[in-house]
Amino acid sequence: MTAAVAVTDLTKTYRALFGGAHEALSGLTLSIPRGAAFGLIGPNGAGKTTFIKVLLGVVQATSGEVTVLGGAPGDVPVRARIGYLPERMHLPAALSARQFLRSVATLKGLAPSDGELSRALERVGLANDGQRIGSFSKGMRQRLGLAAAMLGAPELLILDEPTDGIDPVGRVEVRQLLLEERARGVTLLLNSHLLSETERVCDRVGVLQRGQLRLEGTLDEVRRGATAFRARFEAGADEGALRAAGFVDGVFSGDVAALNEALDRARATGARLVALSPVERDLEQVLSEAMKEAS
Amino acid sequence: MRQLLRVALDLLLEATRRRWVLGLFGSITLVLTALGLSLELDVVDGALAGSKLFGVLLSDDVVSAHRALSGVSQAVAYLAFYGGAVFLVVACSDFAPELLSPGRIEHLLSLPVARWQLLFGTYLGVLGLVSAGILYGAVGLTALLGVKTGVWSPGLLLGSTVGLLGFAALYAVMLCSAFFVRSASVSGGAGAAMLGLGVVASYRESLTGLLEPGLVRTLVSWALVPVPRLGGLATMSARIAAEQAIDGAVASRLAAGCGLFSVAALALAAWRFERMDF
Amino acid sequence: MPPSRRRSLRWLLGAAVLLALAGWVMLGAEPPPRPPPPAIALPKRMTPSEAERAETRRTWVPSAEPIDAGQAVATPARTAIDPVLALVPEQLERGAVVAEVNAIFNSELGPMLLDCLSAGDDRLLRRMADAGFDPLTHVDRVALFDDTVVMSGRLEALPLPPGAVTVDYGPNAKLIEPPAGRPQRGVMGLWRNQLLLIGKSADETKALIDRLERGEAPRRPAFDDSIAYGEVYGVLKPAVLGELFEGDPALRELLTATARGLTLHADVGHDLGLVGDVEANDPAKADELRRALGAFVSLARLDAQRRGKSREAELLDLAKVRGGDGRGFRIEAGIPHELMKSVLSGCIERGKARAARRAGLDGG
Repeated sequence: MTAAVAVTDLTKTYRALFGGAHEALSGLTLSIPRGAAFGLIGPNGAGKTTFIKVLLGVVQATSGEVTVLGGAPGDVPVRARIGYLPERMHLPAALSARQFLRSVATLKGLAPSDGELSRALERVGLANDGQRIGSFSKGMRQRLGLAAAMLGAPELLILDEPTDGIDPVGRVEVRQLLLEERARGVTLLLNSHLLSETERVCDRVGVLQRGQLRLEGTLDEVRRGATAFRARFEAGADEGALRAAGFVDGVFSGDVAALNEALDRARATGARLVALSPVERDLEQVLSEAMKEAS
Repeated sequence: MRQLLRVALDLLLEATRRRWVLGLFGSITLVLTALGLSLELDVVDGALAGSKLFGVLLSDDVVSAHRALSGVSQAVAYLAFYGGAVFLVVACSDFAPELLSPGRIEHLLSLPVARWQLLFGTYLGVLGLVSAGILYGAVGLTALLGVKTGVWSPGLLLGSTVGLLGFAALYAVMLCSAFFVRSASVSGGAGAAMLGLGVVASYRESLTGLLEPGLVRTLVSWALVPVPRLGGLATMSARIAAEQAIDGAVASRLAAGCGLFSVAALALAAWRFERMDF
Repeated sequence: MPPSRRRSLRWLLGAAVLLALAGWVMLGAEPPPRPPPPAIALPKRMTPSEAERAETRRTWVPSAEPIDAGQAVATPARTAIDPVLALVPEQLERGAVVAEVNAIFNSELGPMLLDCLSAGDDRLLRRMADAGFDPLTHVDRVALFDDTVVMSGRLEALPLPPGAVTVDYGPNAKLIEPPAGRPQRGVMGLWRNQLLLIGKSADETKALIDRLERGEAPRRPAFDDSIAYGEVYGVLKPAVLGELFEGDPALRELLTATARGLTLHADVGHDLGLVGDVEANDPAKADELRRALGAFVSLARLDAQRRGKSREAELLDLAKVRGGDGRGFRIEAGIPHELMKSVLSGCIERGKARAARRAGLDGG
């Protein structure tokens, strides 16, 4: 089975009209398996939105290979299988939510019944569909955008800040929706500043910084990091000797080989190991460590 | 093709729910009502014995109503061609920049619609909308003059199709300009400039004759060659409205040239659009 | 190259082809280009041949200058004058115009002009021909100085009015007296068989002959031989200029108040080219007058266009009022060759029709 998204050595350089260039993506290689929920994290200006736009064909890659759902990005048949929620969606103020959804459905080549449209709106918590979009709150607009993205049961759902502007209760609802979509087998590509959302919805994450992929793997792999271990020694061990062996407050930073050497040094001072476990980090720590490393 | 029509239809449906449409049809209705209330045509046995506009006597010559109407239709056609063009250029100037606004274009481009379909669909949608407006105005005027004089002439209706052709060229340029600079004022300015150029191009030979012979005159003369002859189209529209004979060969060449120019401008826009990142 | 770039290039190529096609299609749908205005030769300066012509026209006459007492007088003192221009007075009331008749009659349009002038009544020409006088070759110039007429050329065979009597006046001239009882419109004098003078009275004619005999030219003539170029030249005074604008009293008033005179030059050989230099009393007024005349021409042209008089409009299109040096300005006008021919043809046809009607009346 091919990957939902396969990117090899992707580069995107924006060139200014009068000289000057900015490389938004540089040599990015990434594969997102079908059915995965992939969270893209990184600081502002890391190239996350550019990457998403390249996948949609909205931005054209300068070099590299990009395959989305087995086709080229921007191919019309491929786009018919993608649902997308932009970061800042501009919605026609004069239309009602139902009219907007029907318009999107028409352009997607769908002909949903009134009932189907009502269900799509109810799913995102927009029951009062006669109201004009112009009077919608930011959260309501975001929900409508989500409903539009999910129209036609797409195989790949690309969501750029889907919970932006939505209240905490709404966020839970949106998260539930995304989990439902995952359960349906949809491949999810999520870009969110709310790392807790990503942690709760995604099973894979990639850390993007300055256009490069710093870290990528399953959520456990990334969180675990596999470079720090917490050790607990028998009571009475010489704290100074343990520190000299490499255990600072019981935490050792290094790979497994280095860990064993450090343990040997600790044992030589008479310390006895009681428990050893890898140190688990949350995504915030992962991101901040990745940024520290990069800098 | 189906997607293209879907885009056009989508634009039409969206526009019908905007105040813009109310403004367009409201303005036309206002002009028609004002004319209907202020134009007094004194018709006696098929002859126009006098005409007054806003109470001012325009003419007290007794002429055949049909002949008098021919002059009125001609004047109205000229006024509608140029006045309508200016009004529509202003009114339609924000369609293309709106289409390309951040947050909207990314969403549209994520849908299964090719860029060129989006471009041509938008163009057709706007033309559809404008056609409806022009048709409404032309039917209204025909009915107004018909009721007042008893002469029912299809001239204005037919002449208005030429007006639509002229606007098609203007809007193609406006749409094209939006892909280079996304601004409603630049789009409107491009339309207005095109209108002026189109009039100048209609008198290309005579006007370039005013320049000193040399490189500049040659360049200007050749640069105006592909520009649609909007002045010529206005005259054609007026003659058709007045039920006067037109040179068929010249008319078809003017119309074909205008159409080809419009598609060329759209092709240029498509070239730009295909290369653009959003 | 990415597929989207390839696609975009196809659009660009398509745009270029369609644009070219649009241009090609519309090139055939333009109103015919307006023909360039015909080039008309305007007499703006004296040509070398005209300078040579002026030189050859000088003839020797006894000098009017007092002779130095110390000089030995073997032969009487002589001076060379152009006898026609020597008669230009210092003061003019209406104007002075000289027509180079010989040059005009022998130009491209000359025969038609002569036919136009004589078509109605060729009796005079026939009588001249019987007497061995050919106006085409024997007349050189005709000049009008206010009310005085001067004709120069080889006039020995000039037929005199029937019954006229010639009386010698001095060694080189004679006065021609009309037959008794005929109304007298002027008194003719013939000087050296070169110059025919028609003065208002016998005294005036005699005075003119005396001036020639004495080689006496005016000190400050209204114009001299420096303006003797073109086929018609001279000076028109404000009174005459005002008559040209009868229909526009304001302009007429401005013209008569502002203009000191108009120096006129016309070329008639192929087409009619006219240059008039207006000299004004006041520079500020000169500019006002120039603008008023320019506006008059423009309005007349628009009016002609409105009335559908395309030929008139075309002629007015050729008329220009050009800026001057502050003391005056220049008016240029012209009639193209084809139009001149058409006008003269019309004149000849009308003359023939008149002659035919007269013959019919005489026969009846």
